[in-house]
Amino acid sequence: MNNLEKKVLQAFPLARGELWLSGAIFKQLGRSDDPQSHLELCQEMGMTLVSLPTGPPPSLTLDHRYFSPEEISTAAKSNLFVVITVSGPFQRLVDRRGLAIVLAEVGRDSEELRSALSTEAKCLSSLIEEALKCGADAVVIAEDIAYDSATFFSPSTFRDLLRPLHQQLVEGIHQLSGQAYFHSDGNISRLLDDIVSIGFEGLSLQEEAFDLKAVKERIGDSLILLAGLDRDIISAKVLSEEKKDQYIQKIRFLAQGKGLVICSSSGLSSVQEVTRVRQLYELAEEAVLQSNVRGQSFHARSRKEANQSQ
Amino acid sequence: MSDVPKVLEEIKQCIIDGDDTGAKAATEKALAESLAPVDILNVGIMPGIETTGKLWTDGQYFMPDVILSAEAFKAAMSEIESLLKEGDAPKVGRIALGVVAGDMHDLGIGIVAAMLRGAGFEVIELGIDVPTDTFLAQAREGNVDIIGMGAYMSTTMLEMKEVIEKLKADNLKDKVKVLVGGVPLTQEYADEIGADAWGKDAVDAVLKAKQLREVN
Repeated sequence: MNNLEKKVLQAFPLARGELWLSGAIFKQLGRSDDPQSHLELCQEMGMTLVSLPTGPPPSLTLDHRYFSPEEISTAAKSNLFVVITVSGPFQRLVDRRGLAIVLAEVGRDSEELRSALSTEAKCLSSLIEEALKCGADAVVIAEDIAYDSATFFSPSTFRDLLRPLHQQLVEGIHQLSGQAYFHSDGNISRLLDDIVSIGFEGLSLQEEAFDLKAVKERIGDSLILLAGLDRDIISAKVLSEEKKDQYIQKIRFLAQGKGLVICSSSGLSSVQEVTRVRQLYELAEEAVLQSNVRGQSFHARSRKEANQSQ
Repeated sequence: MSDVPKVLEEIKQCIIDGDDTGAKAATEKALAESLAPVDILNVGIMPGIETTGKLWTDGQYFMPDVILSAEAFKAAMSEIESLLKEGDAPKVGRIALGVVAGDMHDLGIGIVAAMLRGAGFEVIELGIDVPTDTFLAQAREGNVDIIGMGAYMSTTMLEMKEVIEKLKADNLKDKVKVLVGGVPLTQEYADEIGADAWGKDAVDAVLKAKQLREVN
């Protein structure tokens, strides 16, 4: 059993984590946006994992911090599962050149594009190696390759152009005893089987773009899901009873199988969102605990199995 | 279709294939054959970009195909634009199109602009990271029928609300319709902020823009 799976199952009844915490949160809390504050906030929120974005910041202005290898080493001394979040080869190239330009190059299938992607993958591989040697437990490769209806390019293009690069990256991560998770915004349902067969152990997805139930049924026993918090429930002014019920049903379903880290796909950007997410964590735990009483939770059974295997 | 000059079929096919060099050369050839710019537009160029839209809607085309088609469309248009007479091109409406302030994503807006032009709209491209005041100025002085706004991030889509509120405050909301689109948007959000329509993707944006102008 891998590390996060163990952690997820130990985090009774549900694991928690966020891939991106914005600088605005720390500003609003009157804290400095440094590794210590990130660790403290994650611990205060009862999170199982802390995510540290690393690598060259994208050209777009994103309000979250990028962490150095030294800061990753510091975080690795905590009791949290340390995940580094990096842009994948395609995303890195998009950050440099712009999405429209890269997609046009994909359409032309130029040799130059293949070479540029390969260079990005090599740089990324070095970055990942350094972070894992600093003590990170896992790597989230964030590769935005889809919009809300479908992938930007065909599955066959993904298999031809990007899959070999991801395969190499995942193999490199595994060789260093790390774990690999995949993140993409948009609807990547046509690529789910590829994501599993590449060897990723977890998946963070933008659930607004999916039929989450269908996704869970397809890959629920293969991958840990980092999901459960959609933008609508995080930003809703009022948490209606209807919304709460829908959320609880969703979490109960997602918590079956390999496991769930309650997580949004876009990160948190304000203290209001942090407060809402704390409320949602509690709601989810109550719901799953109630299910356990009725003996309905796959997750609780998995946890028992995990304890027995230790 | 046998009456359609071969060169116009060639223009159409180059646009569908995303061949900008070919589209430009074929349009030059059509002009050299003394074909009327309006026929080149209506029989060659527009059917080309419309076919691309259909292939996209059917799931046969992906973004790279659409982007290359849009580039080929632009290449062909650049040859005839200055030659079109008043009344040659269909006047479906005039739309000012831009990505909201703080958002640097340029992907969708170029495709939407090409598709709208293909459908007969006059498009004023405002670019990316467009300040609220620029949208307001277009509504006030740009003689536009529609303000089109795109956002790629859940944080920047909030700017759309501000634009619409300011349009209302300046009594401009009755003068123009507002069309919104972009990855994080939903119909619910469009309704909540008071937009007149939400375009799910480029093809849908054209459909909604036509509906706003009450044309088929």
